[in-house]
Amino acid sequence: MKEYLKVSSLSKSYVSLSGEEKKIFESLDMGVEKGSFTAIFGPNGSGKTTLFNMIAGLLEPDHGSIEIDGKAPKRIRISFLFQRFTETLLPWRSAIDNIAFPLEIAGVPKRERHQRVRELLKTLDIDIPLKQYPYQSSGGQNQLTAIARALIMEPDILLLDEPLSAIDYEGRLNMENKLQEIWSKTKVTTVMISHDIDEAVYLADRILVFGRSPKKIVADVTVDLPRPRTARTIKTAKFNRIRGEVLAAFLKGRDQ
Amino acid sequence: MKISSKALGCVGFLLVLLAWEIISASGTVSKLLVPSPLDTLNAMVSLIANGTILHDSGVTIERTLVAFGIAVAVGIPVGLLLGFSSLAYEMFQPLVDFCRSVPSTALFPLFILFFGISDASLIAVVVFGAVFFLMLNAMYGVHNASIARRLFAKTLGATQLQVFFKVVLPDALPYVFVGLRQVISKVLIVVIVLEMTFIGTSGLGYRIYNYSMLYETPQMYAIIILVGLLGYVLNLVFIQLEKRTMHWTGK
Repeated sequence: MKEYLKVSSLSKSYVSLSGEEKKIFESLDMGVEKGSFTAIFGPNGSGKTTLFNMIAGLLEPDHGSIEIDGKAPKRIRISFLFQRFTETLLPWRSAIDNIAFPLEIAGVPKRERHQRVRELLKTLDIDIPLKQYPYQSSGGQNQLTAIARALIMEPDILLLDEPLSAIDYEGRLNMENKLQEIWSKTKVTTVMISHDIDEAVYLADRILVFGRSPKKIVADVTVDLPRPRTARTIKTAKFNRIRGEVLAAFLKGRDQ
Repeated sequence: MKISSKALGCVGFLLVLLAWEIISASGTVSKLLVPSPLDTLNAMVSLIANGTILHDSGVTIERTLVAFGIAVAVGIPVGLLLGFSSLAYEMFQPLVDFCRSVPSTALFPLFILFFGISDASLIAVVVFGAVFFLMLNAMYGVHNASIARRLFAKTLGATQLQVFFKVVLPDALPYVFVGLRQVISKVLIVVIVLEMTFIGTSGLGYRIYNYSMLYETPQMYAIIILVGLLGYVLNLVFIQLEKRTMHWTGK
C-alpha cells in the first residue's frame, strides 16, 4: 500500500496553565492512501483537531514528521471544512465570487475565475443561484457554496473537521449524500473528523478510532460497503456489524 | 386602509406646526419669543431671496465638510492600522478612548493660542472632536472582524495585504460607517456652536446668535430650521450611502 499522507512517529505536547506538560501525541504513526476517504473517530480531547492543524501546516509537531505525497504540508494544496464552515463565506460577495475567492488570492484573472467556477459546479452537479449573496441564500445553498469553494483549487487533500455537526438532521442526510457524490467524482483524498458514528460508517472507506490517553489509534476498521451507499445501506447487517465494531473500539479506547 | 409611513411622518410635522400656530396666535407667549409660522416662512423667503443666507450656509457647509474631511482622512486610516495589529490595539485603544472623551471645546483656548482667532482654530477644534471618534470605530471594526474569515484567507496563502483589503476591511466597514454617520452630526453641532462665539463673523451659527441679539426672532427661527434641515439631509445622505455600499449588514 502506497501511503499518500504519512504521519511518522509524531509527538506533540503542550504546557497547560498549571505549568504541567501534557502529551497529546507520542510516536503516532498513521497513513492514508491516495483517493481514499478516511474517518477519524474518538472521544473528545483526543487531539484530533490538533492533528488536523499539524497536517494543515498551521502547527509544528515537536518530533516526527508529516508528509503528503512526499512533501511537507506547506507545499501541498490543502482545503479545510470545519464546523459552521459557512461562517467563512464572505457576506459581501455573491456565491460565484465566494467560490472564486481562492483563485483570486492565487492571482487568476477574473474572466478565467468565473469560467472555472462554472465548470466545477457542472462537474459536481451543484446547482445554486450564483449571483445571490449568502444572506439571500438558504443554509443548504451556502453549504454547497462553501464546499465548491473548498474544491475550486483542486486540493491534494481535503480535511473535514465535523463539518456537518451544526446542521439539522434532514440537512445532514442531504449533505452526506452530496459529499459522497462529490468525493466519488473527484476522488480527492479526504480525512474527516466525526463525532457521529453513523456518518463515519456511511461515508468512509476506513475508520481510525482514537483513544483518549495516550492518544493513539486503538482500531483501524475497514468499511467495505459497496458504493453508492443509500438509506438502504444503513439497514443492512453489514453496516450494523461495522458500526458495532467501531463502537466497541471507541468504548475500549475511552475507558483505557 | 393602510397609510404609508411617509405620510404619517408628515402628519407629525403638521401637528407641531399647528401647535406652533395656536400658541403664537393665542398670544399667551409674546410674539417676540414665538413668531407665527407664517412670519417665519416670510423671513426665510426674504433671507433666501436677498442672498445672505446662501452665503452663510455656504460658509457653514464648507467648514463642516473641511473639518469632516480632515478627520476622516486621518482618523480612519490610522484607526484601521491600529486595529489590524493586536499589539497596537491593546496599546492605543485606551488612549484613543480617552481623547475621544475629552470635550473638544475644552481645547478651544489652546487652539486659539496656536492659531489665533481664525477659521484654523475653529477647524482644529472640530477635527479634534471628530478624529478620535472615527479612529475608535475603525479600530473596533478591524478588531472585531471575523477571525474565522481572516484565518481562512491565511490558509489560502493570502498575503497580509490581501487579508487586509479583501477580508478585514469589508468586515470593518459597518463599524466605520456608524462612526461616519454619528460624526457628521457632531461636526455640524460643534461648527454651529463655535460660529456663535467671538470667533464667528459669518456662518449660520453666527446668524442665529446675531438675530437673537437683535430680537429679530422670525429670522432666527428661519435659520434654526435651515440648520435642522442641513443636519437632517446630511444624515439621510449617509444612511443612503450605507445602504448602497453595505447591503449585506443586518441580514
